[in-house]
Amino acid sequence: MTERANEEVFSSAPRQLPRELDLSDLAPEMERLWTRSIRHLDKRQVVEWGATIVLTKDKRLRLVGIVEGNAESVTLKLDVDEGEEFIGTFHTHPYEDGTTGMAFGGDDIASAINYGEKISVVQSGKDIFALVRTEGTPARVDPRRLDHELNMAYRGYVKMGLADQEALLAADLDACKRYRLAFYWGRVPQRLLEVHKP
Amino acid sequence: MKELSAKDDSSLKKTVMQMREWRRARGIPEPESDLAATIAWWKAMRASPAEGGHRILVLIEPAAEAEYQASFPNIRVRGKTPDEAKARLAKALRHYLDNSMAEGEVVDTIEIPLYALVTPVPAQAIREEGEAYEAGNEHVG
Repeated sequence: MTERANEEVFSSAPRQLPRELDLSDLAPEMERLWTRSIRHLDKRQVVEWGATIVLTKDKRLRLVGIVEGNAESVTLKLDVDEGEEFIGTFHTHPYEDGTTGMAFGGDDIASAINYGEKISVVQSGKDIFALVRTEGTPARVDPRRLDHELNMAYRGYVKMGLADQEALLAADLDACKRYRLAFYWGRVPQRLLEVHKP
Repeated sequence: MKELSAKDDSSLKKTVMQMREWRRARGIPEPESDLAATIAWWKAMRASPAEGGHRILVLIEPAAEAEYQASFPNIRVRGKTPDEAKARLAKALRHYLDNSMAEGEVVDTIEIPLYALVTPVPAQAIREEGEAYEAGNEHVG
């Protein structure tokens, strides 16, 4: 089942989460921000871009409050205009050496939970990853603990022979299982497929 | 005043760089990434946590002289039946991990308890394959 991402999707119980997630309302802007994230790879210059995802009056998703960060972080403004509903956030994950396909860090996941994001989206190259909050997701988590757990899991997966991207994905999925988040993955321009739901 | 949320990936990037250095120090080349395969592997690994541990996806295959070979990275054992091969693999895996951890090699690599059950997936298919093999019928080589 494919559903356009909307308010109903993000307030659903896990069993009602769609098999595919259509973020086509956001895709062009997300792609533009990804492109802007890579400044000069030969000079190892990259920068994260981010934005807040809102649901507009006409029930479409939109990126607002677009901000530029630095090579390893971006600070998002979560306030939204009257008539628009805060849904979550988007940001990019560029690496100085051109590595792409890198999903969420522990701090990304913790802030998504603690700031009440219904969806959190990361784009790294052509790969797009999304966390979706469920009824079982806790209201708050300890960011340092989650970050530590994820980094330890990442180390373990690398030592098991996984590539950087694979190890991070597996560590993310472990965190989603533990904190009852749904996880989607897709590659531009395809829809995101459900990878895990609690 | 606007509410702000920082997405700080500095800790992750530091860890990524440390582990790249870990690979370099051991002469391990950077593996090719295959996210779809990783998802399938993760689902199989995490799908059915066994009591007291996680299930691990292992390969059970017919071997010479009516034996079965069960394998896990760095470990291969044989048994007269799939269950015997599994039991021997579990024992060997525990021994291997005990030794490795004692040497400080894999202290933070294994999330499963050392005494985890090792179960092939899917078990029924393995049994059927084994029965077919023992009956002298077509088998998967």
